[in-house]
Order: sequence, then structure tokens, then C-alpha cells
Amino acid sequence: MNIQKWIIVIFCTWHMFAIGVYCISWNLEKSAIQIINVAATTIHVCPSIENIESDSINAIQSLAVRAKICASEEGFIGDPYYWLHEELYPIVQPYVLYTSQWQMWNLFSPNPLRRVSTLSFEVQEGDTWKEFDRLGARHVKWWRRTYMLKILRRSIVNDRYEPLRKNFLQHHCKVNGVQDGSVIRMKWLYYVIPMDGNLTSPKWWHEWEPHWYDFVLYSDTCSNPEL
Amino acid sequence: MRRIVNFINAFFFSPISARAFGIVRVNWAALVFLFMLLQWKDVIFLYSDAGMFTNAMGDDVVFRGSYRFSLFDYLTTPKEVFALYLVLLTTTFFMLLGIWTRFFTIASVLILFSFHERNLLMLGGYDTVLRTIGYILIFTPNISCFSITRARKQWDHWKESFTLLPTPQMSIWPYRLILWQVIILYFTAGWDKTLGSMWWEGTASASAFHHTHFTRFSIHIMDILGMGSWIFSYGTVLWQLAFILLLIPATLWNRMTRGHYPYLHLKRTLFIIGFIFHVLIWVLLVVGPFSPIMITLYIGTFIQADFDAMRSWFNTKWQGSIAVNFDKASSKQCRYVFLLNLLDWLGRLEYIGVQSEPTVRITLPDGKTASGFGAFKILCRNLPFLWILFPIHLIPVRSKD
Repeated sequence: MNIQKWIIVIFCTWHMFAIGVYCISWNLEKSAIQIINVAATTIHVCPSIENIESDSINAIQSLAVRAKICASEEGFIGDPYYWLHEELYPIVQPYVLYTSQWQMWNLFSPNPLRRVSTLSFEVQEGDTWKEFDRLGARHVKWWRRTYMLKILRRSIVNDRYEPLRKNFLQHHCKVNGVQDGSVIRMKWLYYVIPMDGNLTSPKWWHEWEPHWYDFVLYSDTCSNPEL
Repeated sequence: MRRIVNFINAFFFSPISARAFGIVRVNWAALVFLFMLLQWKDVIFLYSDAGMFTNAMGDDVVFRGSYRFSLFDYLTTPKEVFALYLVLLTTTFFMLLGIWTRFFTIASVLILFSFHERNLLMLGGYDTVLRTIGYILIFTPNISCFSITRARKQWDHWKESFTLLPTPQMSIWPYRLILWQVIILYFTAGWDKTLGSMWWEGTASASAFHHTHFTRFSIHIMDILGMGSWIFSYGTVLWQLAFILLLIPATLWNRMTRGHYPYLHLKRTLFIIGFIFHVLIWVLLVVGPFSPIMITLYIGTFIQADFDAMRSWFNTKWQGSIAVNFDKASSKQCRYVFLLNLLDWLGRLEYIGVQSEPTVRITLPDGKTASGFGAFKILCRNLPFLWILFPIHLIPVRSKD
């Protein structure tokens, strides 16, 4: 074994280690969160977290907050999860991120995505709002569908994406030739597929009617000086 | 100590066929080229400061906060962004063809990383797989199989000896990295599913089949498929978790199963299920290029024994060989037979160079002979790469009588 071979051995071992720690620590974190929450609700180890409400949209974030409070109250520091996440993860993180090897395999999990979203772009005409464009599963060309719907799903879940919403709305008003100075808005329409044991039954789907919610995400004035 | 060093040497540097990684390179480049080409009209919108995401929005909105590099930190205007986009299309095209293979592979991978780092919001699991494969390809010792450069060498060799060059070899370590990636990918994906409730209830697949962002067919077809949700859901989780078994050393596994179910069979079973799984996903759900990219990742786990097993499976009912008679003095016939030789992945052809053969003539194992279009039709059936031309079988062959 020459020096070149030893370098390759070290590189491979390091790469495998880094990828493994990076992925597994995410799963361990989620598992720890779930275990702590189950423990909290079944054997009441952390009575204080029962006051933290869990809303249906941000269930995972709520659970994480509850688990972290509980872990600090009960002194869970020192378990394998913390060792992996607090000690090893920071060591591998720079390598994994700089080489763009970051990964988290939560495809259709822990539960498949259940919220079905559409964006409606509207312009004000007198007292009414008229839709001039729509972004949803049936409204984008097949070759744009995957990435445009991914942007849609991600940009609506967090308010820190508000600057994106503004640009998104302005972009749609431009490509649709909306008059400069018109009042425009972006409305989020969605329904949620319920968690129901009957989802496997065609009869159930036939009888089920989605309950639509709508929410104005952003309002602005169309800036379209070319028109 | 010597035993440990020998083990390490064998574990990382045993020679394997470089064919698999040649195919991975071609597939990777073709997929990146194709799917980036589809973004042509959206490039400015997705990646430049004139689009949805401006650099000024910074770390909290568009980018990851730390440990990142992207050429788009420096190239921000629409013209610059589109220029880099054209460079990526060019480099992937040359990588696909295999011209200056190493250089264009490194360039393509690094530019693709820049695109991904510029817009995290639109990335999916398939983009992650592309990055993991690309990164390993940069370092893989031999990625020149199925390249124009190698085709030229093959032709020179063929002209002299009427045989192809031996299959190129490389060290096994890139295969180990790919296999590790596959194990991590599936095992953590399966693990994550066990943390949800719908996979346990068997309703996860039915829910996914009815999400209009993903469904490809009408709701009625999805209703029927949803009835099998229990099988799909449990089957998926079990199959994904089973990948952890591949960490058991092959010798230990073979000893445990007493040779009745060798390690190679375990690996092939998991990957064949995976192939069917991803083809089904491709057919049923709209999830972008996820399936072809996963199958590309699979090919990186092929060793010569897998190629041989696949060839044996295709040749189960095949006996003998097709003799291809050609005129050694005719450069036109030589080129044609050379191409046939390159495409003969099932090893069904035998090449017989003769004098004064007016046209390439084939003799089948049963003694029948054919030439011209009739011969080409027969060859199409036996050369997998030409199976795509199956409609030509509808064209009748004109009899000379």
C-alpha cells in the first residue's frame, strides 16, 4: 500500500462517516423528539409542556419545541442522540455542506404531504377581485410542474419567505401583462387530506369533499412600467 | 498487521469492471443536460437577481447560512447567469460524449452544485442524488468507458485484430461509496417512515396517490390503486429498511445462510425490487426525474458478476451464436461490424472475416442465412441497444424470389 492508496482509504472512510453521521443524526433527532413526546403524553414526565398547543400545520415544529423543553427539564443531555448531534454533527457539517453532499431522506415521510395547495393571482377591478393567473397541479406545463410546485409548497409555509412572495407576485403580474399600478394579490387556496383509516376505500374517496381554505399571502401594486 | 493491511487493500482496491461507472457518467450527463434544458425559459427567473430570488435576500431567505460556495455569488445579472447556464449545457454534452471526459465531468459537477446552491427552494430528493453521484464521479479512477475517446482506441484496435480492447478495470472504492450511499438513503428513508402514523396504518400510499400535485392519472385509477395501499405502504417500509442487511459482510452472510441465499442474491433481490418500485413511481406519480436518477445510482452498484448474471438471464433460452460474415478488405463492412461488436452486450454474435463477401451476411444457429435489411431486423432483436427500433419489425422484408 503506497501513500496514494492510504489517502484514498482515508478519504473514503471520512466520506462514509460524514454522510452517515449527517443523515442518521437527523433521524435520531426526529426519533428522540417523538419518544420524548410519547413519554410526555403517556407517563407525564413533563407536565409543563402540556400547555404548549400544537397546531395541525406546524405539528412537527410544535413537537420539536415540546421535546426540547422536556429534554432540558428532565436532563436528557448525554444520551446517544445528543452525543451524535452535538458532538459529531458539527465535525462533519462543514465537509458535507461545502461539498454539497447534504441530504435528508424524508421522502413522503414521516407522513406523506397531505395539504394540497394552489396559488391564485388576482387583480382588483372596482370592488371585485379577478383572477389573472393560477399556480397549481393543473396550471403549469409538465416540464415545469415538479420544481414550480415545490417552490409553491415551500414558499407558503414560512413567513420568512415574504420577500419571495412579493417577487413571485410581481413576476406573475408582468408575464400576464397586468396594467402598471393595479392592485394585485396572491391568494393561497388549500385543503388537507385527512388522516383517516378509510383512505384505502374508493367509496370513501367518492363521498369525501375537500374543505377549501383560502388565505391572502401578499398584496401589492403591480409594477409593470413597460405597459 | 499485514492481514489488516491486506484486507484494507482488497476492500478498497480490488479490481472491478469500469463499465458500470461509464454508464453512470453517460446517464448522469444525459439527465442533467435534459432536465436543465427544460428549465430554459425559467433560468433568469430561478437563478438571477432579476428573478424570484435575489442575492440581496441573503442567507435567511434564499441560501443556507454557512459553508457554501456558488459561482452565482459572483454572477448575478441575467446575462451572466444565462451564460453559465449555456456553459453547463455544453460541459454536460461533452461529458456525455466523453471528450476530455475528466475535465468536463469536474466542470459539469461543480457548475451543477452552483446552480443547486443558488436556489435551495426548488430542490428535491433527485437533485440530492445527482449531487452525490456527481461528487463520486469526480474522483472515480476510470470513467472513460462509452466515450468517444475510447471508441477511437477501440476502432484502431479493431482494424488491426478484429477484436475489441479488454474491458477496462478500476479500483472498487467508488462502488463502495455508491453502495454506502444507497444503504444510507434507503435505511434512513425507511426509518423516517416508521416515525409517521400513516405508514403504520397502511394509508400512506393511498394518500400520496390522491395528492393532485403528484398524481398522473385520473382519480378513478388512483382509487383502485389506493385499495392496495396497505401492501404498498408496508412493502415500501420493509424493503427500505432491509437495505441495512447489506452492511453484513458477504462472508458472514454466506455462512449464516449456508450458501442457500448468497449475499449477491440478497443485493440483487433488493435492487430488482427497487427497479420495479421506481418504474412504478415513474408511471404512477409526477416526481420529476427521480426514478431515472435512482436507476442511474443503481448502475453504480453493478460489478462484473451482475452484468454476467443479467446476460445469462437474457440468454436463458438462447443457444449458439449468430455468425456474422464480412469482407475484411471492405472498410464499409468493417465499420458496420465494428458497431455491431460494440453493441453486442449479450455476446450473441461471432465475427468471421472472409475474402470477397459482397455484403454482410449472417448465419443463424439453425443454419438459416440473411443479409441486408432482413439481417438487420434479426440483429435488432439481439442487440439490446437497438430494441428501441422494434417498430421496424412491422416492415416486411422483400423476398428476392
